[in-house]
Amino acid sequence: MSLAGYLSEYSLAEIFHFVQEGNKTGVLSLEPERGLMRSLSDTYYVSFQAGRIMSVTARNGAKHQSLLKIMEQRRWLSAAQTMELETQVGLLRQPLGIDLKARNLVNTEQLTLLFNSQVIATTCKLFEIHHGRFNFDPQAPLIYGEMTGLSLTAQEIALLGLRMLKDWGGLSAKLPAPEFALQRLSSKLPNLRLDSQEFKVWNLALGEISIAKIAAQLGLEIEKVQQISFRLSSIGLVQEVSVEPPQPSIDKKSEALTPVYVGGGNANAPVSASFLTNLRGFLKKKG
Amino acid sequence: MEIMNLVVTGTVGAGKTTFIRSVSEIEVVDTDRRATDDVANLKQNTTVAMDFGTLQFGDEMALHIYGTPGQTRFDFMWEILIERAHAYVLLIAAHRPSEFHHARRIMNFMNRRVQIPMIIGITHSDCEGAWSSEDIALALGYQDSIQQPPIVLVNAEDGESVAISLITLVEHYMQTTAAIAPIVG
Ligand SMILES: Nc1nc2c(ncn2[C@@H]2O[C@H](COP(=O)(O)OP(=O)(O)OP(=O)(O)O)[C@@H](O)[C@H]2O)c(=O)[nH]1
Ligand SMILES: [Mg+2]
Repeated sequence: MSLAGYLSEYSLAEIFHFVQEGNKTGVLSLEPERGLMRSLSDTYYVSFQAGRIMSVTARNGAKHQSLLKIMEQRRWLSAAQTMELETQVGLLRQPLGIDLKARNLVNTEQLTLLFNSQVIATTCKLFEIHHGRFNFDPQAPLIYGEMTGLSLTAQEIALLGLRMLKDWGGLSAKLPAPEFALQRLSSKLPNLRLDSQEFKVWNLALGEISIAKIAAQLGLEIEKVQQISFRLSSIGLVQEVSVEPPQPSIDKKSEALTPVYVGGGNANAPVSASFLTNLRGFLKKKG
Repeated sequence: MEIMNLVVTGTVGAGKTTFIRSVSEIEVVDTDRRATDDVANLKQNTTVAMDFGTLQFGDEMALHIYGTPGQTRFDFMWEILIERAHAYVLLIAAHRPSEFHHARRIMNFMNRRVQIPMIIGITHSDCEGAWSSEDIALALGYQDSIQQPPIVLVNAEDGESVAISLITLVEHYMQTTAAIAPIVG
């Protein structure tokens, strides 16, 4: 069984949502399509533990970015310390950051800085990738040597990443159409820090008001509300629904194909209990 | 004659026609045509109108099974089919994640019109690249297993497997209707 596919089919926010809702542990690898953006690496690895993002690393050819190297560059560790620690990372049974903090080699502030640059900044860039492959491997060993020990839920990061996204061009086909309405998937207040616009849109996500009307009501551009809607729907807070059921448009040509209910049967009348028992018995002989 | 109307819907190529053929005892009315446009690169024959099959299991009892058209637009045909259905099966091919969005759209479309028991049948789970049923449930927006309908793995080509999935549907129907039926006596 795999959880793999293309980013053109599933946006990163949606994949994050699956991983979080499934409480999954494992490594998500992303391979951006070649030649997409020059600043991108070959492969990105996002480590998850029970649906929380623990680390993000990038590989470029044989070059692997590492947490220890970053600490050395920042002169938090000496070259000698780094070298020694590098021989030990393979043996770690807990995140490197926790280990180093216990040894008083780094403090919480430094770990927060590391997490911000390693996880938050990198993932925000990942939201700009709309073409490439993804693969979630629940069996992949966790890379403790790259973990600060800090984590965020996939949903929180997706919200941040999509808020910071400037170029929506690659997602334009996935934005909900203005005539669609939004419906909350839960009436409970989300335990996420929504910004005020997101919160207003969420409040109007009652399955009846179209996105265009929400935009008019809030005095926002339609496009802006579409982006907010996309954000809220990718993190699983709302879903898009049609406002009016489409009117059946029967034309002459298709009339010939109209199915005829051969024996009738009336759905308003539920099927009788004896019918169901008989049917089940009959199927059991076949199955 | 007592008749139960069942609708088999699902994504393109999920196995709707095959499913109906596997349970039916009469020659299935099928209206497969060469596929047009975007469906064509998925498969050569697609169902343009509908499939129909029956299962007669007593002098006065029959199951009628209707398949929805394979192509991806909802039209009057859908309305007619679901209006009188007692229950429906949503088939989803596990190895085509790009179609899960559409499966969700079908479900929303159905559930906004009718409140009838349904089950989800996952086909093609033997194929390469197949997603697990748990992951498919997540892709369909089910965040916990309480509100989720029964999900079964089914091989549409295998009559036994199809029969087992129908038993699940019948039992689900019994439970849901028992829950709302007035108590007599
Ligand atoms: N390997 C495998 N093949 C299956 C399974 N179920 C159905 N098939 C095959 O999938 C193909 C498509 O099945 P159809 O019954 O034509 O699908 P459909 O849903 O009617 O397709 P449309 O009418 O075009 O939407 C056929 O070749 C089936 O034999 C399954 O569980 N596993
Ligand atoms: Mg068909």
